[in-house]
Amino acid sequence: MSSRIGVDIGGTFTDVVFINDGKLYRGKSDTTHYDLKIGFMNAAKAAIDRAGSTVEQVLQDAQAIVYSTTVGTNALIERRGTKLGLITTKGFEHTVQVGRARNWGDGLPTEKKYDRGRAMRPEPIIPQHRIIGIQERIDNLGNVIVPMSDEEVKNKVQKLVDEGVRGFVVVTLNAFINPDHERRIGKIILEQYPECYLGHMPVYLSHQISPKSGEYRRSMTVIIDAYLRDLTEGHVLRLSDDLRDLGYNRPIFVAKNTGGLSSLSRSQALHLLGSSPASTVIGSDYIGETIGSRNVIVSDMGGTSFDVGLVVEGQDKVYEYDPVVDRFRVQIPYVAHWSVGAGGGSIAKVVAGELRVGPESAGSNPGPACYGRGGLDATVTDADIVLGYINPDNFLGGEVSLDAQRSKEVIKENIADPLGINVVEAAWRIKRLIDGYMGQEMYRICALTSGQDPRDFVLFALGGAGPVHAAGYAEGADVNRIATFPFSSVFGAFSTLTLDVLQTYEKTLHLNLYSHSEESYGVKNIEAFNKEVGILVEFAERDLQEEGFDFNEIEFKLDIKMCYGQQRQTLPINVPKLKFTKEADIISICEDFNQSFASKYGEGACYPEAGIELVELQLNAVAPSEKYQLKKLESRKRTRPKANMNRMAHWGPEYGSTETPVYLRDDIVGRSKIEGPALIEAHDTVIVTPPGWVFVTDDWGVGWIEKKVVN
Amino acid sequence: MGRLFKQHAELFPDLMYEKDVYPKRPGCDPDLICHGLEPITPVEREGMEGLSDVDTEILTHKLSSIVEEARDVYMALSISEGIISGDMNCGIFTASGDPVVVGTGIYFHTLLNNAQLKYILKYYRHDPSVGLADGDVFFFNEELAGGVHNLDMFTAMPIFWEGKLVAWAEVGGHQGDTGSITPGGFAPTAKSRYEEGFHMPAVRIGRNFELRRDILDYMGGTVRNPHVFIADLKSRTATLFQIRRRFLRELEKRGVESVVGGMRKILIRGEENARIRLKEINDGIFRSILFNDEHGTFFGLTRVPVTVFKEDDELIVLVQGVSPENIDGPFNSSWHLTRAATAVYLFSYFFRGLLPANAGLLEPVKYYIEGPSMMNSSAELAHGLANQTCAFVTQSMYMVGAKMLFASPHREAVQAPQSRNYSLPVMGGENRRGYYSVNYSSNANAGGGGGRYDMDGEHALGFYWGPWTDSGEVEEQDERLPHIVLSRRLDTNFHGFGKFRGGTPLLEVAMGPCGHEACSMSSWGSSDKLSFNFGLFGGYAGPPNPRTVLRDTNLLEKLSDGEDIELGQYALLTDQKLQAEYHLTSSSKDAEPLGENDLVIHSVGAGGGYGDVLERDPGLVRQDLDANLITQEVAEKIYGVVFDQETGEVNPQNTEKARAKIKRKRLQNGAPFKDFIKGWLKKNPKSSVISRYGEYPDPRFPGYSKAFWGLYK
Repeated sequence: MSSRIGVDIGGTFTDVVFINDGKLYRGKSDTTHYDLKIGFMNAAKAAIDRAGSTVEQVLQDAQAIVYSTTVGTNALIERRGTKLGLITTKGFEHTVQVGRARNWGDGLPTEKKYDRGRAMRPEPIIPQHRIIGIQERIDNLGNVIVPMSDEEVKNKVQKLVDEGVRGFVVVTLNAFINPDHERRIGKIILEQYPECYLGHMPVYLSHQISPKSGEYRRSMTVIIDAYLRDLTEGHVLRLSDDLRDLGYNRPIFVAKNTGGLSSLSRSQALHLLGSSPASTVIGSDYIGETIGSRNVIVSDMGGTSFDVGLVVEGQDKVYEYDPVVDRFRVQIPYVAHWSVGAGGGSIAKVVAGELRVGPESAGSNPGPACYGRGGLDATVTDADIVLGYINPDNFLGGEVSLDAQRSKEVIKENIADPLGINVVEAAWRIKRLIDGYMGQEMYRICALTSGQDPRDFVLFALGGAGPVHAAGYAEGADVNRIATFPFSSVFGAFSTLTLDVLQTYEKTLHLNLYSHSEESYGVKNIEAFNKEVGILVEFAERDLQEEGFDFNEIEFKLDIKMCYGQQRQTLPINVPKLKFTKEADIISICEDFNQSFASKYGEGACYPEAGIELVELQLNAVAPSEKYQLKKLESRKRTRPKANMNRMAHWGPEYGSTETPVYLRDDIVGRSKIEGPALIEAHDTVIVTPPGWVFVTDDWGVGWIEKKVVN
Repeated sequence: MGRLFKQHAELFPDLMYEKDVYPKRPGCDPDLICHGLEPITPVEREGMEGLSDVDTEILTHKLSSIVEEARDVYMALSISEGIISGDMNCGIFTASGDPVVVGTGIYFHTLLNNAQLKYILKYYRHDPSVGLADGDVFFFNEELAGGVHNLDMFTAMPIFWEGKLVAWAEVGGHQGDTGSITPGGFAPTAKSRYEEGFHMPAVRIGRNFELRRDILDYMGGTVRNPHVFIADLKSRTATLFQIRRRFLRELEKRGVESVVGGMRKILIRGEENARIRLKEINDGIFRSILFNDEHGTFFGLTRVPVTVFKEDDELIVLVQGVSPENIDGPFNSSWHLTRAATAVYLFSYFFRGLLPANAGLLEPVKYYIEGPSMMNSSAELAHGLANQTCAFVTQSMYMVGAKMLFASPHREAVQAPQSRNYSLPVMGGENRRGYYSVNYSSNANAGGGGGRYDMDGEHALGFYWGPWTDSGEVEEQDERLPHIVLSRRLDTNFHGFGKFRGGTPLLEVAMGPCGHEACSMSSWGSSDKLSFNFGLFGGYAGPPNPRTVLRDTNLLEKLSDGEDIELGQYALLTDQKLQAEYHLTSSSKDAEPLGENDLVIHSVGAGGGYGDVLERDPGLVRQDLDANLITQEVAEKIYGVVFDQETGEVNPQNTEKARAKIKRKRLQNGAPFKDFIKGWLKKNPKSSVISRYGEYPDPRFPGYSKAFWGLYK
């Protein structure tokens, strides 16, 4: 059995999972922003120590290291990327500044999106003076409406060089249909600044990086990718060199937000943003399959944010095709996950006589008032202490001591007194409100993205605060079963080891598949379809062979996005073969589309009379990787765990405050069942099981919080 | 009615102030439209008693999530440019027909399209020839029944629980064609409603959750683009079903009393919050006046004054002394639309943060809109540009609101109005994919924001009527519309100057299709010579925005020769490098062809500035110059900023001197108010200009005492 290392560098903690001989070891350390390698080595050492080995030995033997990092996210927030110039179609120089008008609200919480009086766009990545327009125009059919002059390109490129740019992004209108002008611009720049000389500058052509319709989104996709490329590459290469010095001699794989991994040489910088929560969704899918849960809502509640993802029917990852990165909309097939401004640090306050919780957070510094770092606001964690859920003397295994008195004081001062209620009631309302928000966000996400009934889903409670609040927010989301895992707190790192090697290729391609007026299927478009799919397959073969895979090892999955008439909405339909040969192939996918549309929006919404169009191709090429196998417990005996102690905890107006048994999670072995109310303390969290719920462990060692069925 | 109003206002007999001026007619009952919130029902009262604030907050969030989800689905499934770019709404209404949560879209729809539900309840529900049952789907686009104009088409369905009506779901938006005499629905030459295409008050088009094929065929046959019309109607209905499904789940989970009680509580809470906000603002009388420069397809002045009385926790909006109805054009608003249009300002700015926006927020506001007039007009007239007309009052609300809020804890909401200087072309023809298309460009959703008390107005802020709209991308537009956009950018000298300048819109330069099917273009708007985009507290107004068309240009020839042509309005009109016929006309025009050598330059205008230009930081002036937002001439002559000739940097000493000189000149040109008025009143406009104005200078009815913005005493 091989040994593999998964790494997840987060904003606060760096997590490492080391898998050796089928056993899993976890390590956690503070993220060291000044040099991320130090945090990684600390966490790795913690995990490897548990395995009784040494870092050097493990690195020499390791078959793979899979890496997920926030280095690009932080660089983007701080605008520390490469100095770029943009060359675009003349007349469209303001496209990236203005976007789609409403884009000023992208990436903002709802209440700010509606506050147009205070609208303000984000700081641009490429300032206006480094954007130049070239006279040219190609229409959506690829016809040249305005020809381009090479002379103009040469003259204007010099202006950007004079500005000191270190790379050129080129985006011309409809280049994904006819890339001739972009190619010529690229060629002119390369001729002027050849690769063999110092000062050579890279050129990023939009039709190569994102051959999709939408000049704003395509521009931002290419710009962000180019902006973060040097920095991300430098970081991973340095880490790679350091690990080689320690004896590691295999490629480093990076986890991607598209739901797979690849070696550095086959990765784009943009794909590393948000790769950790994306990996968590894939990891949940993998674990869900093992334990028999095919519909999963993935929830990760940390200090400042609440991340939600979905696994639907265990096979179709839920993708977001125009995700917002930072404050910009881009075009990548992003494994969908949503971040809500709710966490243990969310601040509670009274506004106009009403209680509000979040989205502002006390973060980790000063953090909740109970941290004793000068926080003056009442937070969700303070409420959890007042309610008796968190033991202030046993937080993070007793490594951190919390000031319970301080929690009471801030809740009294900021919430209870203004509302004229007692402290416990105030804490209960804080909990109810935050749980309600999170539950509804989960409900909305589940329903909005998949049209699924949340009652068909189980919930995975991850993150330090997840198991504390899971039963509360599950109520809001209409979910009755919640899974907690012994490795919940390092689930992101674990998940990187569940990813397959994946390359995704997309292309906007408008082809009519059915015309109602002519009562015919688009047989004449079969050739164009086959040609474009063939090109994507060639790309895939090239890339995965570079990764060391044979053609036979690669699994292809082709999705086409379809719509009625000229609807904006498209639905992805899986195409079982990579080549069409006859009309029946088209009829078959049109029928699949009609059925899929009817199932999502109702029979009455189908309207083939408007025509059926193919709008976009997406080809996924997958090469499987070795994965950790969750094992069933050796002992399947039912056990009856004993409470370690009792603690006073509050359970709302119906049950009031009661002496509640407290269990240690490590003491619960075999198959067990504990009736709520109960508190189950793990090293880094508390599994809160309210009245009306029960905590059970299964053969996999998973701890389930389940709602009791009322007969 | 407050003391200030009683002391200073006078309402005249025989004129209509508190409801639409037209009488009850088939499918339309003005008494229902002006009715306000319906009384609390027993089940609502019972439900409210058991609800805590937290329960209400959670329910608010849940219902808002349902309609926001519906909004996204509706936009995604539709084809009409207006709907997919956000000119739409999805809402949940009480069983009595009052809107509780609305996914915007467009704020004024929040207050409209509920009287149709009340009409169904009063006249059809117990009529055996119609009735009301689970699974019914109703359609309406009749503006006289409580809508905007007939381009805005809605569907609604009742939601039943255990046989009882508990709520309504409603979904609607701006459709691309109505079968009017002009392709695209907006008919600028229409002189009566009968030239504006089909109007339907509430009509049942579906039963048992199915749309009736015969009715769909009839409706599809009334418009030019049936495949778009029916596809959008189906998407509307699918969205309705989704709202219903989600809502029923809430009933199942929370119990019917909790949900309907919670809905009523949301309305009550809206009203309470609005009253709290109003109490924080000083009492007083606040005024603004707007002159419109177009009625139909020709120039001419009309006037709309607005006076607002703020007293304790109430507002009274008085629209009086307005020009007469527009008898030969579509510039006519209705009482209910004029009222609802004020919500666009009030919800976004005045009541900022008091979400969700709903009918409860307007409960403390009373409206007196004098009719018959262009703001409260008769039934038989054309109302297609009611959306433009009602905005006259909205623009004044920005001014009035800014004055009220400046000395309040809510100064952050003080700003000059968002642009309403529309000049909007509507293109019709076969697009490059072979579909018949008739629609406006989503560039309409990229108007400039007004200058703010502490910062510049935002460029291309969005659609005037809604906070959440999308201007799309030109590559997508290439797929749907027949014409070709050659440039979409921020233009030079195209915003209101000020201490904090207004925002610039996205300005498109487009031409007809190349080597393809013909394209026709009609257009609408006004503010061709006079701006509606006021400057605030000394700021300049956003510039007027006439229809600009260049016919038979040699543009393509020049571009093919490699000539560098700046495709902005300022450069094209200032340099006049192109050989062409230059047409600067009134914005509203009937359909005419647009060929590949014809250019149309259009935007929805720029925001006004805030504060005195001489107080603008010279460094910001330099930035505007560098960004080509202004020319050197504007920097020097308007802002009084002097640059060092060698370095190009601001010369602070010379700037100070230049500004002092401009101030002295202002003083020399100034005159006491009485003297100014005396001189001004002698300058009577030409009779052709004021032919639709009413009595000059103060439009009023014969025999009534002279009105000055509603203040008589």
